[in-house]
Amino acid sequence: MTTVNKPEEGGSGYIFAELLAAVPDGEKLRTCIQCGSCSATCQSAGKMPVTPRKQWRYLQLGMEPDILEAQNFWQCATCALCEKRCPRGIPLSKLMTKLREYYTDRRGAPPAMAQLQSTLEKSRNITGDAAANRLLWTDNLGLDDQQKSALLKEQAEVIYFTGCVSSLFPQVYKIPQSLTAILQKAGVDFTVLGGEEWCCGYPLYGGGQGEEALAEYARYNLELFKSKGAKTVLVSCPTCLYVFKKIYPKLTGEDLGIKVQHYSEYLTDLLKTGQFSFDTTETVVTYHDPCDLGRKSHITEEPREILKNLPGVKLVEMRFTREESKCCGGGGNLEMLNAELSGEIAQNRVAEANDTGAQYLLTTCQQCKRTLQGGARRARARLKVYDLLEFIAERIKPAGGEA
Amino acid sequence: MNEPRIGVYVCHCGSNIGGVVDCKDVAEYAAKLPNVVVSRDYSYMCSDPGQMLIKDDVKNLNLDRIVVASCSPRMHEPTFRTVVEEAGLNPYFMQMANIREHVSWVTNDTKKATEKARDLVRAAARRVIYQEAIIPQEIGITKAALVIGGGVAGIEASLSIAKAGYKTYLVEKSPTIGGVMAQLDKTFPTLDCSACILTPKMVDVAREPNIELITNAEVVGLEGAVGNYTVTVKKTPRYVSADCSGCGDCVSACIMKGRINNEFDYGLAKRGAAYIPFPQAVPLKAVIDQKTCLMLKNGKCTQACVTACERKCIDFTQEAEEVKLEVGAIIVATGFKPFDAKRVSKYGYGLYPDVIDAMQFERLTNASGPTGGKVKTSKGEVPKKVAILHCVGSRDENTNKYCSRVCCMYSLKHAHLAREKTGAEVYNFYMDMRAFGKGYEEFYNRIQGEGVTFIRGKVAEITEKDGQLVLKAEDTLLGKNMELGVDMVVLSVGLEPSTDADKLSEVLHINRTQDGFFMEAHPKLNPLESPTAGIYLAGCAQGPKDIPDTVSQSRGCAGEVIKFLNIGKVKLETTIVITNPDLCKGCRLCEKLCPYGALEFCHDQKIMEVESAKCKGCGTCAAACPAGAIKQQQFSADQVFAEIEALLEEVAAV
Repeated sequence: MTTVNKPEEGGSGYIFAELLAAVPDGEKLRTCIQCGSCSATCQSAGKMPVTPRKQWRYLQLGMEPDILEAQNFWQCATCALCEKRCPRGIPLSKLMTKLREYYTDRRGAPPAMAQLQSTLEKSRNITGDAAANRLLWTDNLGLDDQQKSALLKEQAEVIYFTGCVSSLFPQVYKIPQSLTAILQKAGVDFTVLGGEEWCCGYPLYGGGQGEEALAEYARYNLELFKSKGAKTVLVSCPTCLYVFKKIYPKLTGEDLGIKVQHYSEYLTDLLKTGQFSFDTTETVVTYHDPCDLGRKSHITEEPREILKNLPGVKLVEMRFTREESKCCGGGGNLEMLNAELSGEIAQNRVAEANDTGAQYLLTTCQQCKRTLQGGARRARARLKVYDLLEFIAERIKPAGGEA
Repeated sequence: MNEPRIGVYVCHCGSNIGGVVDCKDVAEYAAKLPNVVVSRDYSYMCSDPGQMLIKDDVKNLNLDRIVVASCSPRMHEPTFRTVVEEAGLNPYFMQMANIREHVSWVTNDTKKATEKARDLVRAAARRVIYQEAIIPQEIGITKAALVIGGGVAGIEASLSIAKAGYKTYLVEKSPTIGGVMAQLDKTFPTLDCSACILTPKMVDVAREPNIELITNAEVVGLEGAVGNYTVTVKKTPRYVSADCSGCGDCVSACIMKGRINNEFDYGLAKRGAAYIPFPQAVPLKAVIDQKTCLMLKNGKCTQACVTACERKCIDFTQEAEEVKLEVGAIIVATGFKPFDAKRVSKYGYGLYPDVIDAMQFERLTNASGPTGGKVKTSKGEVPKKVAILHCVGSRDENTNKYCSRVCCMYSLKHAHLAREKTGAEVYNFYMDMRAFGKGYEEFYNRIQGEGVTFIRGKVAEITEKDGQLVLKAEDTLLGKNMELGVDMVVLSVGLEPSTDADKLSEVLHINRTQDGFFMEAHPKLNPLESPTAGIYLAGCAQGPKDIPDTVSQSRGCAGEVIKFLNIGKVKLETTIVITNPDLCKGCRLCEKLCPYGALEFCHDQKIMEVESAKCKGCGTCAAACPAGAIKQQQFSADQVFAEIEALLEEVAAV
């Protein structure tokens, strides 16, 4: 029989008072009505020893041993759909991440997370590659050395913060390749950071190291941005966006002092300027909202606006879209913690996309692209999984071509 | 003037004040203030012995000014004024110092609280010296009432007032009265036929000589004050003259027939541009819908309705008009709007035809509804499994935080009807069951016994698979996630403020609570009246409620209105301004500033005069008058300055 700590023994929910207070609105957990909407929403629930609702009940009652034994939180993709749907508005996803931290402080990090942490400390990226490898994606662009070095400037209006995954995973090289091509074509004064770039730090936070673990990454990257004299930092990774906008200001205690935008925000107007001509082949696409972009950063209409303005492109929506979008399975370091589960979640989303009859499954995140592409492959779905950038770049007609 | 003789009374309000403020100290301090003859503290000044204390002192010590340091004047100023009056003084020789809301309830610091209480008492004891005797003016009232909204609340209220012998105007926005209750099938927990108990009342309204029913109309303006309101009502044309017998020939003839969603059936049936809302409509007259009639929209139509009408009632030349009504009191009974389930996209309402809302289900089960009472899916089949989802648009931070109070019970009713009419397996998904009314728990018990499956869990999402609707939820009592395939889902939508509550609150100057419903003057002790005197709130306009509660509140409001009309006169606010004809230079600045048009220029004497009934006591004119000729009663310059000076004395000393 499990023992419920009694208030007079200093137990009950008071055990977690500090934890709840450390998360904005975390104390709302006390108002949980145990409706189970989170459990039924969670695609990882089947892999958790107890349903998420039950875990929250443990938390309300201060049943610490039960929480630490169940370890629900390592199965969480931090997609935050439970949080979005919670009738009490409890920040469930943030509490899940906080529980990872709580666990790590007491029992140590799981091996995959410990490994990740030491990799990051050594290399400042998630793969352990040498810093110079961050530019390998420029190799097969047919650029000569001079053109390559033009991507790296001392000073520029715009910085394109490429992010670890896009820089170091060949599967998604096309993302930075496409964005830089578009920016060059539009004549934007921009630079990439190459080997100077550090990871945004999210994997540490997601891995249970707490927000404070990101402090040195915040200091370093912000200093680097400043040194370039840029006004805007562009990202193609929604998680970097989330970290820059939501976590860095908390760590530095001040405004970033620089505008951070996801490329979908930046390109909406740029693509309308008339300097591009597009292929007009009739194409049916569906669009997957990344959790960090849609639900967590409320950017849902810009990518759709871009698609609407691409001639010949018809967007068909999936059953769950925008801030109600389903996860790709690639968030919250889940791929490293439980690759099988991550893959299952991806396949669910691919099935949803398949139901629309679209030819392309588009997204605006390199991680979503990776997991969804894997899901499509396993499901043998006849779907092309593209980042929106690749899709745009492919449809841009070469300069001087037929008008 | 003789030296004033002041009595100061410091109330402990149990521990409300006494727990924080050192009341004894405050009383002792007050005793030393100028002109204070006696100063006491007591546990409850508002109690009978507390009141006696004041009265005895007035008599024995010859007091002529009273200061009560206690709560906010909102509740007990009238109490203590009455005490002073009963002791033989003019009631306006009493001043309150608020040492509860302004002191003890906002701090736990006894030292600072006591200091502030001393300050407030000192200020009140100085001010009271300058207070003057006021004899409130009384004026006659218009012995008629206005009821806004013709649902069950408005119908009940109108009938009560009219039957007491007073002229009652009933203004309804749509072309018929009846409201939502007319659309319901059965009523819980007794399962009475809703229309059967309502329609006789609707007919009573039409027959009642004291009721003037104005349909297709909205209240757009309000002037005057309690007892003498002038209401502007905008009538939308019906395009059918009063001579209409409701024969329905135009309805059958209309070339738009069967092409427009019938709002009465929530889109489950169609109507034409010329239509009669439902067979028992009151008034039973056709109406032509401005928005969809081809003649009215485009000016081009065969006008089949005109040809069909033997009595020649169709009149496309009718125009909107505004009428003014003179009434003494108003009852707002504008009801509610069912929550729009499209806002909860996870349930697929509007996407899947067999996900319907509760009002649509009411129409489906209704014998006079679009299917003749047969419950069928969009494919025309009898459902084998039906799910009913509680709390859609209620108890949810994403939509409405409040409980809509009726959904649990009507969900039980729907479960019963679904079982009875289809024999389907019925699953009710709930978070908490709320069966608080008379006979409600027994009803819950009965429906459980009928074989309805209750699952404690909020449905997370609905998708479609192999022609079935698939629900995902956690059975929280088992602690297990579940998926359930059903043929029909009924969303038990909550109640929201009616669409025009916002507009009406501006017109009538009545506030709304955070949930958007109209705010009552006091949630416990004055739940019938709005904070604006003479305007009452009945039914769901004030908050979600069931039919028994709605009827109780309506009749309560009617009772209040009848009482008021019966008294026949009203005391004017005492804070109104008075002008001093000797000082007024007739510059007419005040006339321009007054938001209520209460100041009029007297051409003979070239000075301003106040129309007391219009003055709301805002004080704008008094502050602006360059000659100092306008005085606001109870807020004269010497009263206010005395108070401020006394308040600042100790500050200056520091």
